[in-house]
Amino acid sequence: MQSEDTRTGARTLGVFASLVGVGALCSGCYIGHDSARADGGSAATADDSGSVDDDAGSSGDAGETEGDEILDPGRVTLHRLNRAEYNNTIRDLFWGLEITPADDFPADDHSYGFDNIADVLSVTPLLFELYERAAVDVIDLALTSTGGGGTQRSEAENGTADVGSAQGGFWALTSVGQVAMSFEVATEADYEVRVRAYGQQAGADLPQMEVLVDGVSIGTVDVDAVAAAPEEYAFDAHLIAGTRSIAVRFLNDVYDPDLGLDQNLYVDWVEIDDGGPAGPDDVRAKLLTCEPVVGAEAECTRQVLAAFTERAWRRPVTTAEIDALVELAESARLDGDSWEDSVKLALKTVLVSPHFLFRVELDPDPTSLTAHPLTDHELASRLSYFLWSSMPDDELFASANAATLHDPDELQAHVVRMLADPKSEALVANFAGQWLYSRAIGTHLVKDPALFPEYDEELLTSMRTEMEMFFRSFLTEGRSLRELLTSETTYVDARLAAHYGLPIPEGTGFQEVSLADAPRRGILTQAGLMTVLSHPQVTSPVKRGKWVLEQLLCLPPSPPPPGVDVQPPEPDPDASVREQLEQHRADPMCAACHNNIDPLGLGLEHYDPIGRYRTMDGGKPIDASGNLPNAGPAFSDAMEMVDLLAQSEDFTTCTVRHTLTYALGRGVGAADIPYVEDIVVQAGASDFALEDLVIAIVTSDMFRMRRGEEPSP
Amino acid sequence: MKRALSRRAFLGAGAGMMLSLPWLEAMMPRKAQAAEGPALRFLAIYLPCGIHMADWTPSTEGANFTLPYILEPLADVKSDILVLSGLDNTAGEFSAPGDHARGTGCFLSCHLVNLSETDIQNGTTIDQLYADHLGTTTPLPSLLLGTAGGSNVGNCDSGYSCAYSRNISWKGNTPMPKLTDPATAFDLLFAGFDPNATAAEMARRKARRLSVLDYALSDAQALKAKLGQTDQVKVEEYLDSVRELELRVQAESTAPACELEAFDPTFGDYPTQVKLMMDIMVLAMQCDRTRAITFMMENGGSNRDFGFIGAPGGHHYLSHHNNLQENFDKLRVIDRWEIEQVAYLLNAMKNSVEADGSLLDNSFVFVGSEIEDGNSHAHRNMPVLCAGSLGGTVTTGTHTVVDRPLDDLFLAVGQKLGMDITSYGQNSTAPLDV
Repeated sequence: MQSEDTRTGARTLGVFASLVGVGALCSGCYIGHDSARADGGSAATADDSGSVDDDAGSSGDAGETEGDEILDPGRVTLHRLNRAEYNNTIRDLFWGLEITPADDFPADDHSYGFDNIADVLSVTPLLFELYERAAVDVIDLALTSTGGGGTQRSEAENGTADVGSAQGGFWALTSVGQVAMSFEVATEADYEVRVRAYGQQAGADLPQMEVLVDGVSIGTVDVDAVAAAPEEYAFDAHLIAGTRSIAVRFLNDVYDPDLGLDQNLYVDWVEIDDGGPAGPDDVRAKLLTCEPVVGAEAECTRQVLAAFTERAWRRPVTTAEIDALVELAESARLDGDSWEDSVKLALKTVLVSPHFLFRVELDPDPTSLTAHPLTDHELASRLSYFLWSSMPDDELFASANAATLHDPDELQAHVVRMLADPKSEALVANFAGQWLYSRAIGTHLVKDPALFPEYDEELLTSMRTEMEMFFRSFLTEGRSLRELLTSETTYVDARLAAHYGLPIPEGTGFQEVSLADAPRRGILTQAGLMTVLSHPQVTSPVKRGKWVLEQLLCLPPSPPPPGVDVQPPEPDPDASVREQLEQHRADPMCAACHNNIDPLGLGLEHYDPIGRYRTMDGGKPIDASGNLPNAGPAFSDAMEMVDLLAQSEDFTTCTVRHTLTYALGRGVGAADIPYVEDIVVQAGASDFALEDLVIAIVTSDMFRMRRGEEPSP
Repeated sequence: MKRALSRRAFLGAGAGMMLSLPWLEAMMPRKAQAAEGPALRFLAIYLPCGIHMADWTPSTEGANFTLPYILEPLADVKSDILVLSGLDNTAGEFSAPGDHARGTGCFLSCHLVNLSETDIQNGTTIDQLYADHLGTTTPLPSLLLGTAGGSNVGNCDSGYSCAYSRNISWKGNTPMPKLTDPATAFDLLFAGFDPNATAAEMARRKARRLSVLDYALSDAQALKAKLGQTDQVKVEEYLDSVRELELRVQAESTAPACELEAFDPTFGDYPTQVKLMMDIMVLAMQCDRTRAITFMMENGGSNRDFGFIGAPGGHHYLSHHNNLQENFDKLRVIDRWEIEQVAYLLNAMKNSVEADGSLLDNSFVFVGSEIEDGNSHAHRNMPVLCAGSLGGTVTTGTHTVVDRPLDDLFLAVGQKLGMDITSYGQNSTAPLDV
């Protein structure tokens, strides 16, 4: 993983000798929910992640200002699948196929702290070409994935031949010679080996075909099938486990150009069948649900494409749409492609279509600002991409097809079901990964090896696992999200337990442990987060304070004023980091912002650059006292600080805002305030259990409705 | 991550890295403009976090300069390089922090980028101008490579979009994304090749590919008609991408233009990744798959750890050296290693013989960084190393000191590449005399 440190030296403040050239006053640095409410949002400034940007609502086109009572659920711009969503969708579309083509796609652009924001996701020529190649790779893999049991098929054109060439989906053996294919045989058994072929006779005898397994003949047959009607020829073989080579050999070539004689053998594929039922991984059988009938191939084509496209495009498809796809396939087939190749072409077309690559939501009138409900299918997609970063499953499709998904009770039932499904892991990896920064834990986080010799990749992995397991426990246990900050339990393995000074658990895995006797609570004091929010040698109260302000309180500070030299503090045996940052508060130019940033970070000074607890810094006992922003209540250390944070309205509202941003794929702005307030009240009834927050969001009109946009002149 | 099935049966098992291919008349690109002179190539290599200039700037001007410590690895190509001192990229200057983002954004564009996370603005870079100028001459208009995709969490630099730190090639306000996986890059360049296929087979594949693209275009047009303004922009981006691919597929000859040996694109560490990318760049040019290439050895403000060459501590962190000798010692080692990789590339290009000189003779390679010194974050007196005489139009083998905008260098090079331009970037005055 080659991620860069997300905060450059320019963003951190340290000792500076003088403030030469500082320009304007550090004014307007406090951008809060309250101030936006009070004065119509004039305090909103640059587009920091997580900020209350008043243009953010409705994807850049704020409908109404607050003060009116007209509710505007806004709109989301045409939403391209991001990398995680593309991979997951392919996985689910092809019944668990193990392939992740989006790993090679360029990184997604991100905004408001997330990489699923519709306005900044675009298709570029490079990306489209990668989509095209991914579609081919995926379909090829799907059609050769026949699972352990049942049948395995190998196309002759993909084999190794010593004569001949590919022709229209077959391999043409034009003189004496063979084409061989490899098979992975899982279990030793009696198999039926089938070959689909036809011949072109030009001599007295029919073309003769021999089949060999690892060079040993299992039978010879006269091929009487002709091009108009290829046939399957069956042989018996006892195959032992391992890689087997099965060859099809043409025995009796005839070629006389003067007499116009040319005898050839054409091989389509070879199959081995153990006679058992199709295995669970038989993706091929799920995709190709029928065999084409000669003379009426288009019917099977239509059947396959209709079923697939409806799932791929996540909505019912029109007759016209299927007609066009069938026509594409049939043109290729009538031009010489095999039936299967013609279907593959159409399948590829489905996967590069904008209806697959984007989550399409239509307005009856795209220029009207009147809100309307989403279709059930559009709603199903919003729900599944929110909770699973993937396409709807069969049950969601069923509700959508029955037109019952808008019903709040039905939505609620799906939410409960979906959060309990393993696919909700996507919320841990993608939502928490970005909101709570667990994705940022990686080997690019450099620490001074002289100061932290125990810091290694194994420790980093444990740190990340702790953060992920911790968040996972909020998905279904009904825990209040306030406990993200105040939890007295966490998850550690032996390595982390030693790191934290906790009793070492038995075994090698992770266990839930109590922090009641430890000076730690919740996520803020977890080693992973503290490691991310530090420098290689010292802690970074400024990074930490800024993180709390942005991620937990939605009060992002402004960037430093121009001309300020920003350096991290030096490790100093005689000066604590707190002392080194004094100038922030001493100088009025800096204090305006730093009086809010620093105390939150300094409250975490007990947790060193790799998250170990310490009592001394710079030769003195650590002073971790401070107060919440805007001259808020005081605390004496992190333990008290997290209690105050957890109880603050800013925290719960901010949690709702971040979750909404991720759920919708757009920033949350002034026009959304009435909805946000409703969701805060509704989720607050259960003290902000994640499940109830999700239910409040998906049953809100913000999630179930949309509108068009006024065209700009 | 499970890799897709390879459709390229001829690649065979990994056989290590391959280098320069001997030039054969038979490999002459089908569309070579023999009558108009050699095929000219443009390359840009980006090194992050500035350079330790004390070990970079030669002490004398002119043709008999001595290679300083960082540039010593270029000894074998000394007569082919041009070190330029005194070029300014003032488009990187602004009254707010964010020099890495700005410097990377303007590295090739010489445009001041917009301070925003979402409202991204920049100018078209010389490699993309050249790609447009060449049209469908080559199968790929340009090849944009890198080693790091970049993190998606948090800000990238002081309120600037991550797009600025991660991309050096731009078309107007649109960053052109780069490939960071050698296997994918190789695939994109050469997967159309299949020596086992007949010309008829290749023609059939091309026709099939075009039928899919055709369908995609009409599908998207129909969708666009139902959408509002902002959504239409998204569909337009999709349509432009499909059209561009369609044009290229149509123009592509159905016969492969080049023989390839086995190439193993797997890598386990950063140095191997870099070398593989250099190999791919050489192959791409030899087979005339493209003539405009950019390569980012890490992203803006990269904090890559160079412990593997005895300089641990994070590149970005060290580059804020605070004038400490111990940091200088590590920085010069890092910078020299980076130039060793450039030397690997230039030597391969020099040893690649073409009909009218070497590949290096017919190219212009631009190597630089987003800032001058990592501590000062300055955008003046930029570290600039050029290589290749661009078909005899550039004088190499010398160290030249000037006091000019960097824009003027690109203006001159753009004209030598055959483009009809009279200005470049935001600060050009006149073409630089090179």
